[in-house]
Amino acid sequence: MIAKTPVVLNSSIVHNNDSIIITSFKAYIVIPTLTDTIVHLLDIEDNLSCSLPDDAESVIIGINSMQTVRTNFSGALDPIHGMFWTWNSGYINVKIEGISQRSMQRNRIFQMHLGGFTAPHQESIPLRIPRNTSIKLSIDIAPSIDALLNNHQGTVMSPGKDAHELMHILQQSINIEQ
Amino acid sequence: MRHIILISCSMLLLMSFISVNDEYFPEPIYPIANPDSPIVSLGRELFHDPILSKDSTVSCASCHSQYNAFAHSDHALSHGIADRIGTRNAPALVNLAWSESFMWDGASFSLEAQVLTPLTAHHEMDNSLDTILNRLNKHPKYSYLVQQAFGKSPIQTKHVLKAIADYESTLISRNSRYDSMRMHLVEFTEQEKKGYTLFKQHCNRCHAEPLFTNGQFANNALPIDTSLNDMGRFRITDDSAHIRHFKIPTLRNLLYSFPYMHDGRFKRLRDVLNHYAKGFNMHDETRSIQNLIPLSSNDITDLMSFLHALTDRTFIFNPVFSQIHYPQRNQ
Repeated sequence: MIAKTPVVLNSSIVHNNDSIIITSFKAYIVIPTLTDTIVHLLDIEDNLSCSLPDDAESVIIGINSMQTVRTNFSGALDPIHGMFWTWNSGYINVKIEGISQRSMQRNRIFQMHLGGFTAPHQESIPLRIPRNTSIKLSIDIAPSIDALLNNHQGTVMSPGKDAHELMHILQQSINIEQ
Repeated sequence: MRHIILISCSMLLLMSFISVNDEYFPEPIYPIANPDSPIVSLGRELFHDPILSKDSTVSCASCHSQYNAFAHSDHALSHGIADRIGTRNAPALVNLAWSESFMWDGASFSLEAQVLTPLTAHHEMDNSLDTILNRLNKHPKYSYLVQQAFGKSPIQTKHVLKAIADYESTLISRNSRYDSMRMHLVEFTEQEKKGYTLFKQHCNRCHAEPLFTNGQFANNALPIDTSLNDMGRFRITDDSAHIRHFKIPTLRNLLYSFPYMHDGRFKRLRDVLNHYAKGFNMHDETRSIQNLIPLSSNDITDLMSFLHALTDRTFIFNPVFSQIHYPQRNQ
């Protein structure tokens, strides 16, 4: 969502006297269970829902350090999905891209690639969830986009304090509903 | 029966001999693949095939040629497709199974992960994984090799990465004159002995035996090249203590792996030694190397004599690592 408006791919949303178009939204959802760890890549172009085991008590947005170094580069973790930094190993945990008149970048695009698996820049968001029920995760991405545009000229694409700041803002913008 | 027992005993003795004398070499960090395995054969083929690059002109071996100890001597900086020039000197690929991180800045955490960088970097092969997999899956040779290696097709990203990584794990150099000396098979000349003593006094802390690197990163006080403004490991860690820190390279086969330094600024080994011998002022973040290394002209000659002894010609010319040339079919 941007503010209270659900995001539709490539559609304009008015926010802060600005017209924002989201061209990409992808995020890793990791579900630890008693017996396994399930990794989903949610992609606005494909599917923004995934199945949840009954015994799951938490979900994590982002791939942690251990999962990164032990990756087998297949399935959701295949770098072919464009969620692996090749100049700096590690997965992009959340990728939000779009167009805003406030962006200082070429063609007014903005790019938010948030990740990091080594200290001190390990970026993931753990969330407690109720068992045995479906949940709906709502993320208001407007505050993080505002911060990206106002403080970082519309681009953050590497691990570090800027990514940490934006990840923290995202974390504050998550709402869990049953 | 007696004859068979005798041969067995001889082999046991030989194996024991090699084992004892190899103790100066540490255990590898990364598992070393069997050079005869189908996965390594696939990796060897991919490593030498320009099909991986966007315009099918550049292979891994273009910048990491065996006769340069899997480095590159034509350019100070790596040379990609369409004559694009990169920002760093192509490093020698040798004894990678003993590395914890890869690239001059340690950007890659595994041998598999490092394969991705040259495949996709704009100044290198500038290709996409989609394109690479499509090409390979349409190629009868690769369909066959992948089936042999993994027992399944189509080829996936993980197969490409695993195959090249496994091939690279077999690029082991440990048969230099230095190694023979360590195994008590030869004795150094007087000049080599002097050079070895100087090496242990001044160089071994960073270029630690027997790998001739400690695997760490350091600022070796090179004046910054303002056309590149390369901040080294700082780009990866975002830690100001790592500004202009670069991976300490192995010195094995360095006669073949010129030019030297992360930006290839020195063509001659003597230039490198002169850099360390003339002294430098460190005004910035690191104190990794800050003192003059007192080397006379004779010392440098002795040291070079020792460094020559790190050359492993059986590695440079080993056909096991080379491109496989298939016979041409008549059309």
